[in-house]
Amino acid sequence: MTKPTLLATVEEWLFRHRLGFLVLFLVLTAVLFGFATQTKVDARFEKQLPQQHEYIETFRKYQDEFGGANRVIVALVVKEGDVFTADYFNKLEALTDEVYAMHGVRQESVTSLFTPNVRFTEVVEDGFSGGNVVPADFETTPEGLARVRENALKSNYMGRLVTDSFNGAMVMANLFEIDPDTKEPLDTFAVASELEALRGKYEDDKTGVHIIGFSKVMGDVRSGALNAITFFCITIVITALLVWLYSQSFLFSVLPMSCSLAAVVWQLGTLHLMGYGIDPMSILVPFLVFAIGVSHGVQMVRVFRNQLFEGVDAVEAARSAFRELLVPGGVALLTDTIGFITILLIPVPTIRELAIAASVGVAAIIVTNLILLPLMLSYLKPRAGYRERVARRKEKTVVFWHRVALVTRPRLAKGLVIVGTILFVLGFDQAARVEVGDLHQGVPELRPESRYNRDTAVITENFNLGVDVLVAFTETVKDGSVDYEVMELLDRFEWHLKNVEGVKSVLGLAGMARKINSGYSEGSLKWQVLPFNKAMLAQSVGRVETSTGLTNLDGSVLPVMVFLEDHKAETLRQVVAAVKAFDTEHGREKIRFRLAGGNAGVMAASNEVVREAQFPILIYVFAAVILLCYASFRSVRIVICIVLPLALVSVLAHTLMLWMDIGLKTSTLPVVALGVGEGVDYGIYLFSCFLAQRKKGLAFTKAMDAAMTQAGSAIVFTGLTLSVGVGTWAFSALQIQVDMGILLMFMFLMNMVCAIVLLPAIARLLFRSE
Amino acid sequence: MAKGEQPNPAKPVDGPAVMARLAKRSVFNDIHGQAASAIAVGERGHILLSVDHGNTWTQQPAPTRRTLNAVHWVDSRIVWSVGHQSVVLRSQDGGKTWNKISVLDDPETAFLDVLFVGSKKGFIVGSYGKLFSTSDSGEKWSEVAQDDDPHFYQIASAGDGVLWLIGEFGTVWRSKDLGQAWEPLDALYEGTFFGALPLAKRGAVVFGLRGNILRSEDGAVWQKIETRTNALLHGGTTLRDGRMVLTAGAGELLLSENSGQSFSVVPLPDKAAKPISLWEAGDGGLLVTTDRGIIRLQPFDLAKGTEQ
Repeated sequence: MTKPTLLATVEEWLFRHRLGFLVLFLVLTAVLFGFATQTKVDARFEKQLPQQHEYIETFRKYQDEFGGANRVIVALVVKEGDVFTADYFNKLEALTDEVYAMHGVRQESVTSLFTPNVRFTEVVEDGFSGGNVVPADFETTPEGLARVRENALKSNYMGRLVTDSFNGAMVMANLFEIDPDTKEPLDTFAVASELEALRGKYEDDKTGVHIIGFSKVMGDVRSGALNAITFFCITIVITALLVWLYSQSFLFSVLPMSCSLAAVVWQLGTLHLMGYGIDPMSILVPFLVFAIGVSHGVQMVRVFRNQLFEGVDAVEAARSAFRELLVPGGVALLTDTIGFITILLIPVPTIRELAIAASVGVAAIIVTNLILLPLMLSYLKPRAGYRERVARRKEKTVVFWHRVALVTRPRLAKGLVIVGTILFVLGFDQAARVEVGDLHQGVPELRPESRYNRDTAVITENFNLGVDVLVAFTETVKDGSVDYEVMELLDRFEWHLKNVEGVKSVLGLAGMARKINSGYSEGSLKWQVLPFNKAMLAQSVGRVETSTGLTNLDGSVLPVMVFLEDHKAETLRQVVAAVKAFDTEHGREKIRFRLAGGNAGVMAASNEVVREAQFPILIYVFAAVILLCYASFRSVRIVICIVLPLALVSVLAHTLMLWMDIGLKTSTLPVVALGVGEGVDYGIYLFSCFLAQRKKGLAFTKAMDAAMTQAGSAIVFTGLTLSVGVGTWAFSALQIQVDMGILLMFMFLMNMVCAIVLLPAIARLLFRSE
Repeated sequence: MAKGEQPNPAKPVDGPAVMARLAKRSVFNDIHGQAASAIAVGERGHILLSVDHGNTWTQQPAPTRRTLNAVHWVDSRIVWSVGHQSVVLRSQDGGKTWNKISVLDDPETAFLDVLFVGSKKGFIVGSYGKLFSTSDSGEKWSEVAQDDDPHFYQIASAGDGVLWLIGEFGTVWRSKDLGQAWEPLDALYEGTFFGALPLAKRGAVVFGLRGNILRSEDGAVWQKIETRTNALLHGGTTLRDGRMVLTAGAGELLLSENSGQSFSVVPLPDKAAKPISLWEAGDGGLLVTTDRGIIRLQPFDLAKGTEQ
């Protein structure tokens, strides 16, 4: 037996130099705190892209050439009546001027009824004629307003700059990627707050201001993410209360909490040193690390104080707590880590960062709560009367745990296992129906009822504008855009996509060229066709600028923008399938149709990645749990006892997703792995206690009863602490945090309940012979 | 394939029209009816058939996906349709199935209208002065060469052998002998005319670009009719009660109750739909083809909501 010797050696060495180690840990914590404070919120879009996915490779290939413009839209919508009032037009003009003057705005891109680039054309006998929609001599008289109305109707901007029903108009502007003053990437957060200021200025009881754009999303996501600090404080307070309730001592509460906070500091500091920032998804990790830390710290406090009560001195009590918990605690934390590492399977950088952050955090807990904490405890002398207080409490809880331990009565155990099995079967049926992808309208990061998503809804309802866009890239030969064969096929491709269920509209070069050809034919709709004559085709295509994003300079890449009704997985799958089917049937060397750009294109890729990873990730995390449990206990029966409740809970978590309309996506896929990885802790602690009792020679029922009495309260406490840690996110402004918080809370609570009810019941059936 | 060697290397491509979910919401360039039936033809070879006065429509398979510009019923079985890239289709079963008829093989010619006077005599007109005629129900078509080459947008029959041929550059031609000889009329406008509604006594109301409507009782003296619209006027029809209806801009029709001496604006239920062609159904409903499908107006719809 070398293991106890090794452990003893380590223990001896640590405790002999306990002051030195304490100082070392303190210094380390201080240094890492310095780094941790430099952590930046890093919510780059780039990080959400699945790596090496076919669609994303295509997306990247054309990102620079057709790099979706970073556009913001400010819509001014009247609450009743129409826009043709002096008040409205004065506001719209002032708003246009303000957007024009905003920092980071490409001034030439600003487009509204008031900008000179917004013209109408009409067909006259000898060609085209036109003017500004709002003429230079515009006055807000009834005549002036009537003229604007007529001009707008003749322009191409109906439904785009002004709504079809004339209840609103918008100002559009593109932003610089690189700030022309600082030469640094544009501060999108500053832009977002300037936009918010515009809302304050122009919104009143007659008109609503609705703002959308990538920069606004980033701003809203960041301010939502910054709220995490508030949630963290709330979590600390509630956790402190729980720890105090459990430990009945101020010092015994402060120490495990400080050590857990130290783990968070170590995690953040280390991540900063590794070059990672924190993004809205991995912001949950510090909460998790804190909660896991506290639960392990409390176990340490429990063993320490039991030793104290048995009359040994603080140092000896701390040493035996260390001795008793380093291995099971270490194994439990190692299992957590492995659970987290399986998340690395999902090739999406944000998710991988989450996995890395969680692994680093859990590794930090091993040091702070399994080593640092006992060292600190060894200096502690509990006050008089503490022992009695704990004993009094214990009497109460012991009664409760004796009752709970009744689940190991054979008949009740059987009943519970049957109930568990039924739940599993029912849940499995539901779980299989969980949909992949985001199931709601608007930006998935933000809550459906968030201001941004309500703005999006107002704008998409009133304007012919879709926010869910998938871009299919037509790859053809140079000058393909003036080749009838290519364009005719492109035209059919556009029509093919338009007919797909869930597609709102399609914008492509062929459709544009058809419209322009009709314009060249005096506006006759009978000429809304692609001219066969090459010169005429070139004339029509030539009027489409590369800035539309519908062609590149040499006409060899012709993107088709597909605006969708929503970004539900089913919608995306249909469009993706339609593109693939068309390419298979009609694609040839000269013309290929490739996926995908646009936010919906990225989502389609993410969905495919999630769909592919959903089963492997479960298989790996369970394989890891099974192997580690087997390695620690060398008993197939114990492995079964620990794993079955976990399997039930993960199935029920999927059921909850179905009921709560939460889709399986990159933010929710890791949750089950996190939950399973963490849930195994309970089983490991319970069986450690159980086996220790068995070693003393107790029979099954007695041993389980004793194990429950010892570890039960700690398990309940842990489950509650963890649930509180993640439960606060249910109030987050960010939908991803809400989803993850609710699911994790559910898993933590259910894991706890199953550990104290189902697990002993299964054990009873498996250890029947005894 | 085209007969001569063309510098244009592109080959005309064609195939059956796609039966599409949104076919009914696409552009329909022309509509014509026969008893309770009506057929509308439009972009991508879309052909819609209704057998209930235009209340419900079904897409019919077509052997072309070229845009069709005109449709004409000869009798209850024979229907002709013509379109871009010189495509000509004929149905012999009331519009249910269609076959391609070879008249001209030139991808650069667009046929814009087709007309039969009786069952034997027929005409097809198109871009760049193309005029074809048949005297044997369309078995043989022969080109009638023209000196000028405007796009002919419409050929209309006024009965008694009188035909009107309408097109670009102010083209208003009249024939009194079923197209043997054409007499160019000066309708006081040099822009494009898209159609004519014949009047009694060999006069007509002709209409075209920018809201231009000209009217003549006899073809000699023309009078410009002022209306509120300056939209392109694609098409028109004379109702059985003598009222005239023209298509106007998006969401608007023009209605005349005095043989075209004045018109008032009638709104369409869909404000953004651009009307293209009109047909009065057998039950008095008005069928309006637009760039986004077909609208059916009940007979009384035309009376209400007019504005000057």
